Amino acid sequence: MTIDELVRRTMREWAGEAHTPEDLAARVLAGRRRRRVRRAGAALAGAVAAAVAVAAVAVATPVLTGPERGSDRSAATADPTTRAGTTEVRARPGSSPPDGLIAAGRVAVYAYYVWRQKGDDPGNGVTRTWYLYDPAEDAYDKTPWATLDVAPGGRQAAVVEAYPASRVGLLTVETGEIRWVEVGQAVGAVRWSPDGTRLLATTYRRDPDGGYESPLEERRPARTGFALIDPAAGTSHRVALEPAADERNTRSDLDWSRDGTLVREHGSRFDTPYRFYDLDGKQVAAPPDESVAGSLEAGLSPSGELLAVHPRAAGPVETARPVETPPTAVPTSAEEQAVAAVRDLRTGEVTTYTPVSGYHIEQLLTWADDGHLVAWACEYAGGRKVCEGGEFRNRLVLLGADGREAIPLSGYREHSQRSGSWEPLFTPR
Amino acid sequence: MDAAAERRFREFVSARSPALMRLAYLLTGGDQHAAEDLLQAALTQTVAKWRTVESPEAYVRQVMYRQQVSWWRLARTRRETAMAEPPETAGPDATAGADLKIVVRRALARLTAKQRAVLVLRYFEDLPESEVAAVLGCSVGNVRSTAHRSLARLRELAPELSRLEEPGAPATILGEVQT
Repeated sequence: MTIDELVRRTMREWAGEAHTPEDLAARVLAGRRRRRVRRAGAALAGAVAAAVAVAAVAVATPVLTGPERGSDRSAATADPTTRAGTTEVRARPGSSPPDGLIAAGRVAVYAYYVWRQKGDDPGNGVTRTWYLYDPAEDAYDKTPWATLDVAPGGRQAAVVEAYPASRVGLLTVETGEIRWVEVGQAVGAVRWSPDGTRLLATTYRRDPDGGYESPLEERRPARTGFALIDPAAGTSHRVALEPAADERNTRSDLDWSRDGTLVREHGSRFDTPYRFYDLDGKQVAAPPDESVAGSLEAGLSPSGELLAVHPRAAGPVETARPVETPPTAVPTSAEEQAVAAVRDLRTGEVTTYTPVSGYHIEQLLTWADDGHLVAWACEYAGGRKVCEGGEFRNRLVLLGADGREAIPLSGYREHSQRSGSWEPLFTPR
Repeated sequence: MDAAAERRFREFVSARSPALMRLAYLLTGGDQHAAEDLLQAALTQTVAKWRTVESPEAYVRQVMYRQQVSWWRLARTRRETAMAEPPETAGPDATAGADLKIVVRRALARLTAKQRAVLVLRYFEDLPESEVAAVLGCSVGNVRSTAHRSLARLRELAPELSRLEEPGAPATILGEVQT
């Protein structure tokens, strides 16, 4: 057989494995109708999208206290086995999405998802394909789940089937065995408690990834509340909790507070990053260690002494201070361009992340330990052009909190905002 | 779009979507989700021009090819790594027929979208170079060089294919493509 015969035969056989969706024409025609209806609201939606984009940029960067010597480059290419309790750095700087485990300090990427826009219109929603880490193969396996969360340690995952599935599966990663717990309402997201003993499922009346059914101003909140699941007993208990009236996103997932005693949701304002509820759904004051106005996604370090903040929202923790109005001129100095910082809550000292090891630090995602953060970073270019290839071409880095060094953990995403990009899920190791 | 046009569109999709899906599946390297997205996006473009498109199937195919190649231009390195199955080193029996086809699949999935598109047009659609060029909107020379590079890359990714070059097999890959 010649190579072209082989390629020809392979293609014919392979193509036969494609599954043809039955509702393709309906999907296309429905999308067409929705777009027509939506045109009237497009200007408003565009304005909101622009505002969100500005906020996303505004929310990005502190610099700080460098990595300790333990996380040097040689450690970053360690052997492919995972050991329980380890804090070694595992990096895949050449692959995006990762083709083997990424981990540093107390956190690991046991799962990630690739999102794709449905059709050619952002309003059609997205599909997410989840990949789960298989320690036996040191590789991520494609899963059929609509969403999932990995329990601390990576040995168990909570999985949810395509919307409107109303049950949560408890998957033992090693064996593939699944035990189901009925929730009684469609589940759109699930989160393990910090101690790995309970699950919080966010319930929805509409597919949270299903796109917009109506113009922005007419949208009803999709979320209905949450369910608390006791995995050991196999029981669940539902609580109603609709999102705030100003919530415009179709997805508004709930999460646990740091200590796992409360439920929290993302606030819609920069100075109130989260709102908190007790387990009966009643709003309560933010716990002292979470009333951190202006903080970034990574929040407080494990010791509670360092806080990830925006460099220009660096006031006292207790005082919610609005972010400064973005300057109208394009920022060109490294200081002006910095969007991430860390504040030492003991001394008030702020370390702003101007380029570190050639990386512009864009988003502080999580703390690897008290001296290191995991961040999205792009390749710093300087001048009016912040990054080579644009701010959306970025990779995961391990950043020393002292801002002295950043080492790559993943390859570059070519464009984080485009269909086909991936997002990591961080889980305690 | 009136009711009659909508009915014709539904009939067209119903009749032709299995074939179009097979094509989309190959173009996306065996990624069912991406293939559905690709086909749906192409059908959405087609329905918008339904009244003026003479040959809807040819139009959908062309949109898919060009879409795939333009996505590739935007995200070439990502496309090369975003595959459904991680590549593995083939075992000792990889030259057995079935195993070799698996090896080829994995290698095809790792090509860039443009490399894969050219091979799909040449080997799955059996189009001559001039028509491949017309579909992709590029020159014949470009098609020829891409096909050459695609097969070379395929061999790099699947060293097992070198066994095909024993006596009796074509002298050069390029010669195969240029016929």
